[in-house]
Amino acid sequence: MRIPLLCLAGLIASAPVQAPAAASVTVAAAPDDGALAALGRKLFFDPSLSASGQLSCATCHDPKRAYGPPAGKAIAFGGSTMSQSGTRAVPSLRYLRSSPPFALDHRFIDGDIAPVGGFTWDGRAASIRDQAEIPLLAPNEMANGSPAAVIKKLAKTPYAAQFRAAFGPDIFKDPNHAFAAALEALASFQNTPSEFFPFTSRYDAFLRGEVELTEQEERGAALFKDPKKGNCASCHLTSSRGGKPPVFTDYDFANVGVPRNPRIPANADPSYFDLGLCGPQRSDLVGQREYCGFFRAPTLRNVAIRDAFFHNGAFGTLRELMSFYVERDLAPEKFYPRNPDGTVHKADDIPAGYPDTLDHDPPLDRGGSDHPALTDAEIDDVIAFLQTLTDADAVTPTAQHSAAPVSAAHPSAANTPTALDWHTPWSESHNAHQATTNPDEYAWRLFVALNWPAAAQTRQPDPSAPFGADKPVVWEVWQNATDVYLEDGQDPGPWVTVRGPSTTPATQTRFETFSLKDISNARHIVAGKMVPLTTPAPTAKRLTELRMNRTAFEYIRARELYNLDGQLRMVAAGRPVNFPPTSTEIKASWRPIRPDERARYHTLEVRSADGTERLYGLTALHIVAKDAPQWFWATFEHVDNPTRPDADGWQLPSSDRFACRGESADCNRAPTGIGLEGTVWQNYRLRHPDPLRRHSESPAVTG
Amino acid sequence: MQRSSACITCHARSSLALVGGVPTRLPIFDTAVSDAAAKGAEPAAAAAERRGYVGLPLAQWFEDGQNAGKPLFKQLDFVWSLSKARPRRPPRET
Repeated sequence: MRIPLLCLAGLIASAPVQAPAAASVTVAAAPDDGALAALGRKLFFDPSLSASGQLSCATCHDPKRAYGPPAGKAIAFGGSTMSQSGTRAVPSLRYLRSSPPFALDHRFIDGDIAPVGGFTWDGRAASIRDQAEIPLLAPNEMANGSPAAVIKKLAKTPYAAQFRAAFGPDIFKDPNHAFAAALEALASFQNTPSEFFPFTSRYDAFLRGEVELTEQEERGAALFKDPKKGNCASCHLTSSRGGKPPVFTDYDFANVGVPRNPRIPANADPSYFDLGLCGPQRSDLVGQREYCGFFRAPTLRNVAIRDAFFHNGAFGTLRELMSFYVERDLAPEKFYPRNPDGTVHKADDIPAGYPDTLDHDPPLDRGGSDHPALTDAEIDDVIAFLQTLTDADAVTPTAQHSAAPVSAAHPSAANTPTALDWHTPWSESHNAHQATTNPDEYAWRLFVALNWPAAAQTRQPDPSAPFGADKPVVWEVWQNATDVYLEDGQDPGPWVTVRGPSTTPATQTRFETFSLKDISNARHIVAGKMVPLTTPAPTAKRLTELRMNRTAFEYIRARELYNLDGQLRMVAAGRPVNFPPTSTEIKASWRPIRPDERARYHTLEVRSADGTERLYGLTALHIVAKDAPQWFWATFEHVDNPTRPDADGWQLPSSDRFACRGESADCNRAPTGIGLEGTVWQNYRLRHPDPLRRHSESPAVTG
Repeated sequence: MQRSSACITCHARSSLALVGGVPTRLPIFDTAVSDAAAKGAEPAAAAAERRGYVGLPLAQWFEDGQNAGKPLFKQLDFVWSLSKARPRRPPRET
């Protein structure tokens, strides 16, 4: 999947072009590799080296996830107040060591000439050491600004004496010298085989002859390699080099036309484009438009535990990624927005007028065929193969679910509540362990994140807006179920990347015209016959809306689950419906309220069909979030619900061990200290109506 | 029902099957029970418990009533919004 650049070969230097390297300082008195790596480990896990005091290398490069991003956090926040968003998906730091030096015109064994090598998505770092420098100084990451600022913090750490012992007693007197030593230590740690290139996947065991692949995995491997099918191995090499197992990349660069990701706050600016090789993060090729949109092919080892793919995390599941590869040119409307004239805005993350350098190697280009290179079943096979590339120590939702539930494998750890991070309360925290061990606080953490004021255009939380601001919140800019499950069952179209302001006041089209209860009743079998589907008249007493986040929406859309035909096909094929981690849906209920109650509710003006407007208050919010491998459920209700004139009261007392710390769990109060005070949200209560727990500990009964 | 069920009780029943060629989903509320409760014939909670849509999901819920032990309904990963899907029709002409 590489674009041949033969036409450019004569225009560019044939010698490798090095990306600008970080200042290099020779480290005198270097300790032995083991001591250096041990120091590097301390640096890697130390948040005190960041301006915020909250961000370490390991925050974004989680050792439990093959040094890739934690679930749901591929686009990370950093900076001095942890409020500045990253602009790219966090890559894994594993299997980087064999990347060659960056070169613009590398000739590959198949004759193609293309850029290759280096470190980071755009290859601008010449070494692991240089790559390690970037986050330490970047304003939206650890935000130190200068080497001296890093060293000032380093000198105050508990391991400063160890650092002096390793590099000499005067090491901190020269910040540049000390900074270079710190980078060497980090690089040494990142060269630790057991941590960064363990080769412990099931595929490695297969290569050693220790295990066999399943039939499906074998089919997937064949499709992966077949030039006329997946053709994945043309860039993600499966062949061993120098006696080492394959790393599943040839480190080449390509422009596959990844769609723009509106979840990246920087993309709210329509003039901003992350163009990879030609900037803006890389500076030496700015203006050379023939390289714009080129990003380096990552290793596919551990790819199955990621939830963000490509440089900008535009896709959340492997299936979406695979669908993009095989349908980009057949059905581009599935992946790109439409222009005002109705045409599809293909490769919408490249500015208009730039040269077309899109990769057209199979399976992207279909050469006149109107069938994707891979069927759905074949995609399943390839994904099954990719799942064999996960290192043994990496956490996988599937493995957790089927073989090693947290509670069974690690009983002591499983029962230990984990403190939740409230430093960036607008970002969703998806963590199965926290959901299991600390469900009430976890529910409030979700409640705050989803009720954070939203930037309507990006459909993301707006960290600059105060919690409780009178504007639409995050879940209100998600996809409305009425726009997903259309009356005619047609494709609802892609997640709209740039939205206009929401309609004010809301109209009845925002709400469900009949409830889930109505549906299930209507489809109830009576005496062996189906009751026809009816549409009861909407009630003015209560309005209900269902919404879903992008992950859930794109899962539904990729499988055509937005209509009954697609659902029946999936059921008939025996393929399980299995939403990816971080999928979230909400059900919200609104009731008419008096104007003098406005200060107590999250409110909405609703215009009825007859043109009259009425004030509604949010009375209940049911949150359904998949924190792999389980679903987590939480229901919040307005504190006035049991005493409203038309209410029948709460049948059960509330139960909230987080809000009621130190007293009975039915104290019926909102928690303090998480920012609810002084906002309408302090009037909502976590309802816990079950003797059972709130998450889906029981696996699917029907498999 | 609140007294003996949980979120999982209803969500687990998000399902689909072809029953006699008709797409069918498991109900989560029973009209007859609701009517009885509305008329004061019996307390709603007691009615729901009697009806059985409470507690942890049971494999029997998803079985073919004519062939005990044979799964009929396939679960849809606990997601109820899927029940709003309609049959696909040709796109409207504009």
